Amino acid sequence: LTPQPPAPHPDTRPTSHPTGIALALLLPGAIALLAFVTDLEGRPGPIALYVIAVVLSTYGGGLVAGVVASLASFVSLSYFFTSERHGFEFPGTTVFALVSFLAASLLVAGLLARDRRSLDRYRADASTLGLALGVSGMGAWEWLPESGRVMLSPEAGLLFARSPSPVGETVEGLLALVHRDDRPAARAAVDSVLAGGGSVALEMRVRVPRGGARWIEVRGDEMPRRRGGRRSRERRIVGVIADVTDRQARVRAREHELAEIVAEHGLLASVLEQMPIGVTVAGAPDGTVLLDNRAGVAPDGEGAAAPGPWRAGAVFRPDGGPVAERELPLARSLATGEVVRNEMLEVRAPDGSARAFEVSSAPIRNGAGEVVAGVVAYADVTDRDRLGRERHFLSEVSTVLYASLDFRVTLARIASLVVPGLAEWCAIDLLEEGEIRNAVVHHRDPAMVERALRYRAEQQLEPDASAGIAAVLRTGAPELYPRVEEAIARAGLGDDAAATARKLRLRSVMIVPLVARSVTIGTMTLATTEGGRTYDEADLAIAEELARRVGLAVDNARLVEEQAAALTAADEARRSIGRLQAVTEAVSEAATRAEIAKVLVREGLVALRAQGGAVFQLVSGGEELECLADAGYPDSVRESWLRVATPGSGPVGEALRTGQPVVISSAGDLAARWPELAAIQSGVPDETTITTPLVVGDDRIGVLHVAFRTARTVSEEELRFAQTLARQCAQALERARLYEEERDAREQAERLAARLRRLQTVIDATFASGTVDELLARLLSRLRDAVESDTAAILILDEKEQVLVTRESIGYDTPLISQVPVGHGFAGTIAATQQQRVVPDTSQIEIVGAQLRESGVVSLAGAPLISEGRTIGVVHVGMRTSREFDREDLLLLRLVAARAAVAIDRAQVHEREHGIAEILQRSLLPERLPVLAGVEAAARYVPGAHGIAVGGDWYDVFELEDGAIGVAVGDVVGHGVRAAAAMGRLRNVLRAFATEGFGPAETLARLNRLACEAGADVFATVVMVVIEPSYARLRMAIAGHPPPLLRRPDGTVVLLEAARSLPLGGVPDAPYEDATMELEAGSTLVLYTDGLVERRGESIDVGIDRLVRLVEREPAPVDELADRIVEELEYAAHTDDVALVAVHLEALRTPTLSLRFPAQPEALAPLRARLRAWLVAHGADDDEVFDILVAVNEACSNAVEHPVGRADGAEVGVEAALTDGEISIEIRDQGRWKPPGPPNDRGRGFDFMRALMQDVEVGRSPDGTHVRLRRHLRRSTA
Amino acid sequence: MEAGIDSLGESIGATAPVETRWPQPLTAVVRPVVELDVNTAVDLRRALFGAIEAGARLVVVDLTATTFIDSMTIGILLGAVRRLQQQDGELRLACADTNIKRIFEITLLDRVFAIHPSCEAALGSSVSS
Repeated sequence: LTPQPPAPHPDTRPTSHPTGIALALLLPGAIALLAFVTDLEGRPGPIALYVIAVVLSTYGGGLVAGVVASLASFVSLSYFFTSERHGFEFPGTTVFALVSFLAASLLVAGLLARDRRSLDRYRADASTLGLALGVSGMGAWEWLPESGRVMLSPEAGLLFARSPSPVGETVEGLLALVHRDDRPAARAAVDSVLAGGGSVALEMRVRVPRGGARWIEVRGDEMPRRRGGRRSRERRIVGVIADVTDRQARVRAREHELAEIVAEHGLLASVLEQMPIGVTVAGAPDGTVLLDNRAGVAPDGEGAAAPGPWRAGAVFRPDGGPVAERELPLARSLATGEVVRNEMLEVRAPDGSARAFEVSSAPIRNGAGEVVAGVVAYADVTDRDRLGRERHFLSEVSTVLYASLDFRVTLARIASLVVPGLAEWCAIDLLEEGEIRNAVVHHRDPAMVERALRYRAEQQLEPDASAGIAAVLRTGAPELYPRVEEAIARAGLGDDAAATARKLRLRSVMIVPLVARSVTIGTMTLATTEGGRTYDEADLAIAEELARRVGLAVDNARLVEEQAAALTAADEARRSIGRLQAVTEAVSEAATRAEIAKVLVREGLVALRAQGGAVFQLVSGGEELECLADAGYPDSVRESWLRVATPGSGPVGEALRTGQPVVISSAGDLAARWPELAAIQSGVPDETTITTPLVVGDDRIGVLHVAFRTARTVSEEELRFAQTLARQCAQALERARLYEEERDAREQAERLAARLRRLQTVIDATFASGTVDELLARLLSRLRDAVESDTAAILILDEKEQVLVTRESIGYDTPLISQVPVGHGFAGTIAATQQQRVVPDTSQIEIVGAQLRESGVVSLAGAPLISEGRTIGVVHVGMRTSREFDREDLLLLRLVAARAAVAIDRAQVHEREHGIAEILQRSLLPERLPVLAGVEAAARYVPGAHGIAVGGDWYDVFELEDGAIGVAVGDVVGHGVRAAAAMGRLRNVLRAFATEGFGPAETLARLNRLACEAGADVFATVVMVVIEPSYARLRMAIAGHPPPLLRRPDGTVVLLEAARSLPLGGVPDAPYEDATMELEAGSTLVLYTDGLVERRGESIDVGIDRLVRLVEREPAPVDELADRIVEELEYAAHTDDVALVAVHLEALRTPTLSLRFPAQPEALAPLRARLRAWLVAHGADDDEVFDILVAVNEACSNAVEHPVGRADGAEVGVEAALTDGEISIEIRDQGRWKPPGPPNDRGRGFDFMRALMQDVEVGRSPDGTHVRLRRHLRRSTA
Repeated sequence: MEAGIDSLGESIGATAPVETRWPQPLTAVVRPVVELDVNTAVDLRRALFGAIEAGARLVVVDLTATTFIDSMTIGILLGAVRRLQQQDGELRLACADTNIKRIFEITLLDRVFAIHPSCEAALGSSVSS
């Protein structure tokens, strides 16, 4: 404001100042009063003088002068009065008084003069100031706080609407004029001054007459007290006062404007505050935030200054890519004026939690179209987004879950689905056989997976741990560790888990239980690593939902797998038998021992999944072992094994000694049992071994050795398999040995024959057919003639007794019956030494049999009969006269010996072959029949009663994959090993075709084509029957075979003669046809070979008739029936062998369907599809299928929609069964349905069920509700 | 074993939306999915009532491709008939499947719904009371 002018004294301008005028009027009055007082007292009064002095002094010179003057007056007056009163008259008194008065007057005059000067100056100043003040519209004021007086200049007075008052105003009086609203402030200012405060500055309204108010500004300051000054002892506040009404009006206008803006702004802001989306207005070009709202605060709550989508470095695209600052929507709008609509961005808080925003932005342009600001709006769509993603994710999961029945595949897919959307790591652990087993670990980087698996392998899962996988498995309660580090710090994780978590730099982990049927079957662990997101409860909820579905799927898959495993086990058993058959077949066709051994080692290794194997055979009379075949050993070992001395100890020695298999569990076990073998065994990489002796009759001819390279346990089955293999091997080796001997002998014989021809012998003539005995007799006769001896004899070695028994002799008086122990006498020595021997004089040697000497024989020549290196007998010629046998004689002797050996061997081969063939045949027939639910089966094989020939009869009973049963009986024409082998092949191939799914006719047609191939050389009859899975019908085809019998439950027997065609191996394209026959529970089917019904001199029809009657008489059980049939046969003199199979159907099988599905509407369509397929497969016609589907769908809809009090994750079970043509379907759920209300859709649902099904039954139990629907099918077939 | 415990392998989920077309003003043809059940009910209801809201006075529900319906579907159709009747509108069904027709017969609803053998027939027949 204006500089403060010097304070004008109110009296200095009497012309204009009211106080001055008042004083001018008062003074004459006062003087008159003084005169009066003086008169009253009778003396021109000192009091009057005093008063006049004081007044004048004060008026003229100010307070100090007045005081001095009055003091002087007082002193003089006092003196005057005192002297008078005491009678003492001081002569100078009057003078003194006058002097004093004069002095005082002078003083007053002087003072007045001075005052006048200053007054003039002051007047000049005041007029200047007054002018200035008047110009500025201001007034001046002075306030004496102590006296409460306020002097106002006329201008000031006008402002207060007061006429000037010489005595001034009071503060209270002025305050009363102040506007009520401003009065407190004014009083506060007053109080502040009174309390000692120096300055005043305030604006206030004062009332003016005729209403209204004016704004005044009051400013003032305390006058500084002049140092040493005699005046101004009193505090003086002086100041100016101005009318500011106009200015205030302007200010008010502006304030109003501001207030409006503020109000508007406030409205916008408060509207924005209420909005669920974040809005930020930012100025161009730098993006200074002008306005934003609370919803725009970053999700981490870090403050509005950094609204989420506006902070670079924390913003990512949905695909995870970071968004640079200039790519932010607002920045783009500011920079280019781009309008961004609904762009999805993800904002990550420092703690890793992420929120999704839908962001839109637009530029704000001024009139010139320039971008001056931008506005960005961002909605937090985390939950919506999450919901959408969750739904999508879970639907994907559902798709995956039900895509494969192999739950390991499924789990792997789930894990790869979870990563990277929900987690960076996903591990699924399952509780299997009481152990926690990791099923899946997934990470984007396979190397990381390996690392994790390694850590996992090192880590021991404590089953009693208070946290982690084991705890979740135990308690079924999920665990959430938003910050793994914190959990570790709180010691909430085990040491191992903590170590693993640190190694993998895990940030956030969730472990959720996989639950199925209320049992925790495993866990799913989801984790993110440092820098990744932090899980929250919502993530846990998804994980739990996921785990729930996975649990269900795993459980389902496990049930399926268990079922499959059961089927596989059955299949395995079947395959094992098949393998044995394959081995048998391969072996039966292998020609040499080496080939046989090779086949066995190969098949044995495959079947037992072994890594090493060998077959050793005893040679050199048991002294040595020869390795016939080996596999899986290094050359060094193989070479050392070629031929070794038979060990007395070790597994081989032990097996040979005891005749029992020897199992060594590991190399350590071997070393412990036979320490001495350690050196020999070095270099042999075996751990677990099975050494099985090869036994023929009572002889041990070698060992079969099977080895595993890792220590393991050998199961009963494996041991049994090894033994079976060894048995096969032994038989085959023995047979091969016989064949080889025969072959060698034949070759030798051929050489002999050639030589004999060259020698022009007549021995050939003796090679006529006949019995062995006849042959030997002829041979001896020829020999005697050829060498011109007197006698000849052949002795055969009885190996058991080790004696030579004379088989044939000529030239003796009585046929020789001597028995010569090996090593004794003439023949005994030959047998022992295997050397020819010539004895010119028998008296010189030991002769065992007395007969020889008694017959007069003096010279003897003999040779051993050798077969396969073994002595089987001795032939010798004798002379009653002493004679030297020459080379020719000895040659002839050897030739005859060889021939005889062959003949004898042949006979023995025949005998043995019969045995082998029978063994082979039995081994080719099923060891036991399969155990089938609802079916009893019995089979018999009876070898031919006469002759050594073995037939090719066979039978087979097997279950097919779909539950159907295959039954076949056949007869291969021919006998012996070849027929048996062909039979085995036929049987295997038939089964293979049937397994492939070919029906009987197609199977036989294919078999026929094989049999007709060049070289197959098979001619056979077969009947094949397939009983369908329901057992309600059979299909069959016959290739030249007698017809099967069917005994119905009522006891009638029918011959199944349809579908007969030609035998196999006759006509390449012979037609075969299927015939079908309905079956009933209690039916019995009998298949047989012609040996059962054919008798010499009798029509086969008679035999069949007899069988029919017998079957009519003898009902099931089939075991007894089979026995009875065989007994009957025993009475008859049957010649051919016989195979027989009887099958009794106890009950037809009930087809069932069992489904479970989650109680969700989406499951209904797949359910219907499954049910439809099943119904169609079981003979429901189109209408029936539709009706049943509608009814079942209604029941399921109830279960899906209506149950109340149902837990999430509930399931609905549907069980369907077809019994005696009636479909029965039960739908179960885990909830209670709402009580039936007024007719509505659901009520209609029940109407549907009742209308479409024959029986509807609803039951409720605490466990849930079930509906049973029944309906008869018009036609029911399997 | 025919089945044992089995799970539903088919993909559970996505249902095709119901098609609605407007061959003429005020006439809507609603063609739902192949199988109509609880799962598709919402879509069907939305389509039907959406068409009515949009002003359709003749709604033809084309069931010629439909092979399965349930009680909820019928409930929705009845609801649509009632709504249309309030607005003097009409609902017609095009259905050739004898099984589905039988369902309408069983529930005596063949008296409520005008059932035509084809969509064209449903559209072509004159408006009757």
